[in-house]
Amino acid sequence: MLSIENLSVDYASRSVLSDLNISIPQGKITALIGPNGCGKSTLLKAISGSLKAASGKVTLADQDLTKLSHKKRARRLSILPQSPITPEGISVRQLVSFGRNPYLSQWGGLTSEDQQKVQMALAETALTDLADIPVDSLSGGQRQRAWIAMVLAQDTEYILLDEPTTYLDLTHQIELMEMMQKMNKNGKTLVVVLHDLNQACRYCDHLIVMKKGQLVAQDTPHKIFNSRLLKEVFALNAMIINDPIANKPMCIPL
Amino acid sequence: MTRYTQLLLSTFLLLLILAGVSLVTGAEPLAIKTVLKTLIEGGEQDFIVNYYRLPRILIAILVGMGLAISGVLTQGIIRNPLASPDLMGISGGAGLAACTVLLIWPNINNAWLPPIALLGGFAAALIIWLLNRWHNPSPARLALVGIAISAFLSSCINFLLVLHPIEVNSAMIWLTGSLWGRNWDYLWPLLPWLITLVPFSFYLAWSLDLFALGEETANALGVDTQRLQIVALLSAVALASVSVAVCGTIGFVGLLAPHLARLLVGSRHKLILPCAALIGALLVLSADTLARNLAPPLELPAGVLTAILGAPYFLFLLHRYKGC
Amino acid sequence: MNISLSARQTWPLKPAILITTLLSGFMFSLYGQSEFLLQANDLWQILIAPDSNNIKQQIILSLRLPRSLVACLIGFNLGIAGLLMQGLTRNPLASPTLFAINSGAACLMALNSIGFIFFSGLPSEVATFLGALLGGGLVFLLGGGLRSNNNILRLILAGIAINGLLTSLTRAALIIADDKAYSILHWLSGSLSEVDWQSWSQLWPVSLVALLLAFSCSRGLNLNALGEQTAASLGINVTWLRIRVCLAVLLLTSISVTLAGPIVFIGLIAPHLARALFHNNHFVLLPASGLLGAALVCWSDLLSRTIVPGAETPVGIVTALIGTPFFIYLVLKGKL
Repeated sequence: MLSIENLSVDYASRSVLSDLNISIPQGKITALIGPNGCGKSTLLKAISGSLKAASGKVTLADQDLTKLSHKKRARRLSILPQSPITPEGISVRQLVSFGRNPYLSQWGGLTSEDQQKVQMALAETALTDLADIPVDSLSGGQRQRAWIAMVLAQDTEYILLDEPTTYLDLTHQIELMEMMQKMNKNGKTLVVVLHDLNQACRYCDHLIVMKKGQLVAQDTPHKIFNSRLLKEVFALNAMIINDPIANKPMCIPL
Repeated sequence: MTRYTQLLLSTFLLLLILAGVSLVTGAEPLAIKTVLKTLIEGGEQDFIVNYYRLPRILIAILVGMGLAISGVLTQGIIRNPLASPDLMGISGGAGLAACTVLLIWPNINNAWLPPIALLGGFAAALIIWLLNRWHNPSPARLALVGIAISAFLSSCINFLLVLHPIEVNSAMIWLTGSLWGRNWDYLWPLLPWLITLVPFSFYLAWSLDLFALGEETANALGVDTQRLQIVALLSAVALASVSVAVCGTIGFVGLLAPHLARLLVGSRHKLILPCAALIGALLVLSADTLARNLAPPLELPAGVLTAILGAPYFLFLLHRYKGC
Repeated sequence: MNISLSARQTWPLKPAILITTLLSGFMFSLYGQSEFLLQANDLWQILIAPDSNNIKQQIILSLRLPRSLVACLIGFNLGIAGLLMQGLTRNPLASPTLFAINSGAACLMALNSIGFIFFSGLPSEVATFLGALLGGGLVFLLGGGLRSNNNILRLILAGIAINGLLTSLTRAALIIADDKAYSILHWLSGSLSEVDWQSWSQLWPVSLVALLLAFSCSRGLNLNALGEQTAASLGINVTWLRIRVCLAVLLLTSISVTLAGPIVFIGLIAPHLARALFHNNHFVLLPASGLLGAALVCWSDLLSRTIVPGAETPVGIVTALIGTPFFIYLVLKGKL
C-alpha cells in the first residue's frame, strides 16, 4: 500500500500541500480530483521525489520512498507527467525502451529481457505496427498510448498518471480509460489525476478529493460522491443520479 | 554497414583527407611524397612538417572535438537551441583568465593554462547559473544574458590587450581564436583532459536522452536529474575551457557542430556525440587550413572563418526557432 | 491635472541637476587627471588673462578643450540616436550597439583604413556611413523587422549574429594591417585619445544637420508610440518618418564612430534614464536623452583616464563596464 503521512510541501515559502494523510489501496484504480490549483500535480511530484517535501513521508509497503535511490524508486513506481516533452525524431520503440532505464546500466544497453518487456508494452498498447515511426508524427491519441507504453515498460506495481486525458477527444479518452482498466486487471495499481468527474466515478474504484492543498475526502465513489461534496469542493450545484450502465454515481450540473 | 557507420566513416575519411591537405599546403607548399618521407624519417622539412604543421593539425582536431562535445552537453541540459559554450560566456571567461595569466607571467608553463582557463570558465558559468536560478528567464532571454556576459568578457580581453600590447598574432588568439604557432608544447597539456572528459560525456549519453523528455519524466524514470545537470554542465565547461586555453575563443563551433549532427543522425546522444565531435574537428581544421592558405604568408585567425560560417547559420536557426 | 501640476513643480529641478552634472563633468575633464597638474584656477585664468605662452593654458586649449567638446557632442549624438531607434521600433532594447550599426561602421572603417579594394578611395565618413547602413539594414531585414508582428528578441539575436560576423571581419582586417594593428585596436574599443580640433570641425556640421533632422521628428515619434496604424490615421506619413529617423540615426552614429570608434551602450542607457526622469514626450525626451548621453560619455572619459594612471583606457571599455549590468537588468526585469 502506498501511504502518505503528514506530507507538507512549500513552494517559494507558500504552503501548497499541508499535512496530507492519504492511503492508496493496492490493486485498485484511484482518481485524484479537485479544482484547478488544489495541489494534485504537486502531490504527484512530491510522491515521485521531483519536489522536496517540507515534512512528512511517502511510504510504499513500509519503505520510505524518499530514502530509495532514484533507480530503485523508479522500479517500484512510475509517473507520467501532464505534458512530457517529445523529442524530435525519436521512434516509438526508442521511447518505450526509455522506460527500461531503472533496470539498465549507465550506458543504456538493453538485454533480451528488456527487449521482451518493450515488445510486450508495445503489444499491450496496440503500437507494435507503429513501433518504428517517430513519436512526433503520431496523432494525439497514439502519442498518449506511446507514453503509456513507456510507463508499462517500466514494469512497476504503481503507475501515476497526471491528467492523461487532457488533450484527447472523447473517443480516445474512453479508449485510454479502458486501457487503464485492462492494466489494472493485469495487477497494476493506478493513480490518475482527472478533470471529468463522471469518468472518475465510472472507471475508478477509489476517489481522493482535494481542495486548496488539503484532503477533503477519500473513499469509494458510492460513499463520498454526493451533491454536498460537489457544492463544497467545486462550488457546483448538481444532482447525483445512478449511471445505469456502470452502476456508479454520476453528476448532472443544475 | 548501417547508414550511421557509413556516415561516421565518410566524415572520418574527410577529416583524414583534410589533414593531408593541411600538411601539404601552406606558406611553403610541399609535395605529397616529401611530406610522407618527412613523417617517417624526418629530413630537410622536418621542422615544417613535424614541428609546425602536424601538432597544429592534431590540436585543431582535439579542440574541435572538445568544443563540439561541450556544445552537445550544454544544449542537452539547457534544452535551448541557442545555447553553446561561446554564447553562454563560458569561452569568454576561460579566455579572459588564460589571457590575464599569460600577460602577467608570459613565461608560465603551458600545463598551467588549462586549469586556469577552467577557473575562468567556471566563474562565468556560475554567474549564468545564478542568474538563471534567481530569475528563471525564458530560453531566449537566458541566451541574451549569456551573450551580454560574453560580450563584456571579450571587451575585458580587449582592454588587457590595449594595456599590454603583444604580438598581433598572439593577440588574435585571445580576441577571436587562432591556432597560430601552436606546437607540441600545447598539445600535451590538452591531451589528459580530453582523454578523460570525452569518454565521460559518452557515459552521460543515455541519461541525456532521458533528460530530453523533460525534467519530470526523466526523474520518474529514475534519473537523478539534479546530479546529471551539474555533472554534464561541469564537463561541458571543462571541455570548452581547456580548448580555449590552447587556442582562444574560437566561436560558433560549439553551436554549429551539435546542430549539424542532430540534423544528420537524429536526437539520440549516443549517435550525436561521435558525429558532432567529428564535425567539430572538421570545422576547426578546415577553418585553420583555410586561414593559413587564403593569403600566405599572412595568417587569418581561424575564429574569423568559423564566425563567417557560423553567424549565417545562427541567423538560420533564429529563423526557424519559435521560442522567443 | 494633479499630474501636470507636479510635473511642472519638478520641472526646473531635474533639468538643472542634469545640466549641472554635465557641466561639472565637462569642467573636470578640462583639467582633471593630467600629468601637468592642471587646476581649476587655470580655467579661470584662460578666461580673464589669456596667455599664449602659458603651457598649461595651451594644453587646455589645444588638447583638453577639443577632447571634452567632442566627448560631449558624441555622447549627445549617441543618446539621441538610441532614443530615435527605440521610438521608431517601440523596442526598449534598440540601440546602435545592439543593432550592429556601430560594428558595421567600425568594420568598413577598418577595411577602409587598411586600403581594402574599393573602400580605400572613400573618405572615412562615407565608409562609416555605408557600414552603419549595412549593419543596421542587415539586422533589420534578417531579424524580421519588416514583418508586421516583429519579435523584439528575434531582432536582437539577429543583431548579435551580425555583430559577431562584422567584428570578426574587422579583426581579419587587423591582422592584415599588422603595423597599424594596435592603433586600430585602440580605436575599435572606442577611444577619445586621438581627438583634436580637426575632429571637432569634422564633427559639428554633420551633427548639426542630423540633430535638426532628429528634432523635426519629435511629433511624429510621439504619435508613432501609439502604433503605426494609429499614427497613420492621425495624419503621419509613417514611411517618410521612418526614412528621416533612419537617416538621422545613421548620420549621428557614423560620424561618432569615425572619430572615436564604437562607444558602446550609451545609446541604450541614456534613453532609459531619460524616460525614468521625464514623462514620455519626445519634445522633452530628445534633449534630455542627448544631455544624459553627453554627461555619460564625458564622465566615462574622465573615468577612463583614472582607471590605469598613465595609460589611456579606451572609453568604450568603461561604458561597456557600466552598460553590461544595465543591459542584463533590462533583460531580466522583462522590460522587453
